Amino acid sequence: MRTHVLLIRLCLCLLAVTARGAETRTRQPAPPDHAAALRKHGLRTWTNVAGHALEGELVAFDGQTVTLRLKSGSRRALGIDSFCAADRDSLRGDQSLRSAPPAIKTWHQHTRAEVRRARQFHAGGKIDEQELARRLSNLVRVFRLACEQHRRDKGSNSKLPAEVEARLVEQLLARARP
Amino acid sequence: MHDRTISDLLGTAVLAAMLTGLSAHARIPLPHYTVYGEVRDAYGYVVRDGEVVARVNGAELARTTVTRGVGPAMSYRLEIPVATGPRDGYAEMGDTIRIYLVRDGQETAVIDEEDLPTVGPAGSLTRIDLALGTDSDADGLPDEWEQWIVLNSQGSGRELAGVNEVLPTDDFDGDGVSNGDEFVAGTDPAYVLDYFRIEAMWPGADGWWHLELYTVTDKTYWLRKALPPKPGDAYRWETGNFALSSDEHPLRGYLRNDGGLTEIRWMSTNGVALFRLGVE
Repeated sequence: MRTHVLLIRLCLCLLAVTARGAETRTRQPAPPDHAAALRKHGLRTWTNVAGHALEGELVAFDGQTVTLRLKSGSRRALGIDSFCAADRDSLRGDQSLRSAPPAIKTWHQHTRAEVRRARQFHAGGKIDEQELARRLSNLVRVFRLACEQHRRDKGSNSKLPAEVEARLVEQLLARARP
Repeated sequence: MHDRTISDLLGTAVLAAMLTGLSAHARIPLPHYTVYGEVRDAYGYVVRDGEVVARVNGAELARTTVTRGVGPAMSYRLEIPVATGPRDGYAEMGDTIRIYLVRDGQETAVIDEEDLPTVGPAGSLTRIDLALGTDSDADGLPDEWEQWIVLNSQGSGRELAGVNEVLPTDDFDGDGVSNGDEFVAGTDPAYVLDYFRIEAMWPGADGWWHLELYTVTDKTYWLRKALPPKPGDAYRWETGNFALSSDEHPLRGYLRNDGGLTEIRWMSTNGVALFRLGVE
């Protein structure tokens, strides 16, 4: 009986210590952030060349085939050429941006912000049409200089092919259009 | 009976010894130490992707996703577990914290070794705004931002050879605002028409004052107000509350929006008052 009392005390004590250790040392892994993934890929409306709309989330794009997850949950793979010009530009531009070196991505983001600001200046009456055109042309010039310099600095290690640069410039120009 | 008492005493003694031993070696977990703030890139834009990681003594103790909506002017919050002494998975007060940003699979240390923060008291919060980029000439301006001026200088007739030639006190575009101040305001240091200024200011017929300015995305603007001091006294600047539309009460203490031409308004006061508009 006495031995039992002592054993029970010891067991309770050990259980308490074990439970404490489990509580403080074991971390549950964070659940996957589906909301963030959805924001990243974006549920949006896509338009094909015939003008028909399709709502879906971009799952994959390899340059030729676009895979969308539809609202129903099913997946559909479509050729890039079946999309309207705006969606094609958007997909290719995004892909170019994803494949660009980080320094160029940041530079592109900064230039895009300056393009946007120039358009705000124009919309608010701070600059006229001529100044807007001059400003946008200079922003694109500087972006091209940044790409040139990146290639010069990195030499053969540069991961900025001319076609990616061209796509990024196209994206800037598209944003510059009224 | 006597035998039983001895046994009970022995049991109690063993238990007490165990508990004493435990209290001597246990490191009691305390409330988290929280580090929060914003992550900005080399151009001053708020970064809204990636993860921020805190390491203490080589061990990762906290990780969080950089996102909008954590709080006002806050895009990350790290909760670092703290204990009273050495314990796996916990930091102690005074430990050095190394903070990294993970983007596109690349991990970058975002605080220089000489500026590393330390763990503060458990339960406390510290704001640490993280800035990306390098500052090879140690002039307070990121190289990437200075490179913008260098590239703009090409073909301008005032070519700069490198970031070392970009000085915070210089005014490259000649708009009257120094490069350093343009960095703080988020305006383009290479475009003469872009600098922090009030575009227009006028008294309304409704008893309000109005002003317009072009704000910059992610920058914070504030209005301060001071009444004329007595002779010999300094100005005492206080928050000047304002509104963004006639529908609002003038309760805003600061403004942060997505850029563009923005009008702010505040109620007129009787007599003379001074107002100051700032950006950070």
